[in-house]
Amino acid sequence: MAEMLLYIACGLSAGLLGGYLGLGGGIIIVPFLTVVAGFNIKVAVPVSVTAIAVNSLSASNEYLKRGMVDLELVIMLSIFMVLGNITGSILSSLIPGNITNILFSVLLVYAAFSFFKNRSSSEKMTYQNNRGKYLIVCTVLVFFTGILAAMVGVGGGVIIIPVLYLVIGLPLTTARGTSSLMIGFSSVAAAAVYFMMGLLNLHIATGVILGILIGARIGGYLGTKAKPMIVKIMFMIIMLYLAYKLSYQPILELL
Amino acid sequence: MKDYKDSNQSLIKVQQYAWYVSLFYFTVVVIAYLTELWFAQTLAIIGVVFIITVTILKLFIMGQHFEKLKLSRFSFLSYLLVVILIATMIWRFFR
Repeated sequence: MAEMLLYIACGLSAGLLGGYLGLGGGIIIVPFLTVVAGFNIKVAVPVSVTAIAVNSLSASNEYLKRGMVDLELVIMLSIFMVLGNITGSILSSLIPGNITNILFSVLLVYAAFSFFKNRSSSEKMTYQNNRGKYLIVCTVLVFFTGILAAMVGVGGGVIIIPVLYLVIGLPLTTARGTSSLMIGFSSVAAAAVYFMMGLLNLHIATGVILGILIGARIGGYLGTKAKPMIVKIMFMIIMLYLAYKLSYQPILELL
Repeated sequence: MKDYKDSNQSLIKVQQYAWYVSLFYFTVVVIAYLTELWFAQTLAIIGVVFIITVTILKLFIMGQHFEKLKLSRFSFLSYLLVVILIATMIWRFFR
């Protein structure tokens, strides 16, 4: 009973944060299951990936209802994200993980601080006026972020949202809504494979999914009304935390 | 703009109903696990299959959404994504 409540609480907190920010929630689920519940990472990751697909189903509807999702971008980016993930999973065996982690951390720190740069109104208009050109730029960027994401083992949202906001110039709410729907597609293939191979712990997954169904719904609703500054601060904290988690051990090993 | 919103409604509705069904279903599965029913695992398997199926179904609905808007390129890409996802599943499973 207590265990199941713990899993539900894990899903609930991941759903709330993930839905609010347009992330998958893996950043909560994996540490929660490994550090708090004491499971191996090989148990936590399949649960996390499956929960991300559920999170997308729950949270993205709130953004869709309010027209905060760019469906064309969702399709374009999902394709290149999945292709990037495949390439990344092949490259991960060729390139040392420590170097990738450190490089990715540097990018995260840069993106975290770039969130606070003020964009001029002309910059905001650029995307609307040159949509075709920006779609191409975006697909290339997402392909490479897909590679990086697969190599360092993180989900899509934490990378996609800064790309959409900082590079493409989408409003922060649309970037989060677009990411919220997209992450479901990019995670479902991995979720299905873990499930078919019997690597998904159904007992844990059931509790986490129930929690995330409720949490993401509330988080998604609150996210559509969130103040941009609060979202930016939360993103900054998450990105710096992720950068620290990814680079701490590799830097120690290099020193 | 009206077309865009109208065709978008089917995606919203599918997600809405899928959410209601999932919430009810996974509550039942959690109760089944808590009461240690022998078929709890089977129920959980059906639930996960449902989530995966709905995610793929959403892509077909988006394909239709783009067809209605006469955005045939994006419609094609939606169906292509279904193919890519299924191919990825098969490739990763047998790798």
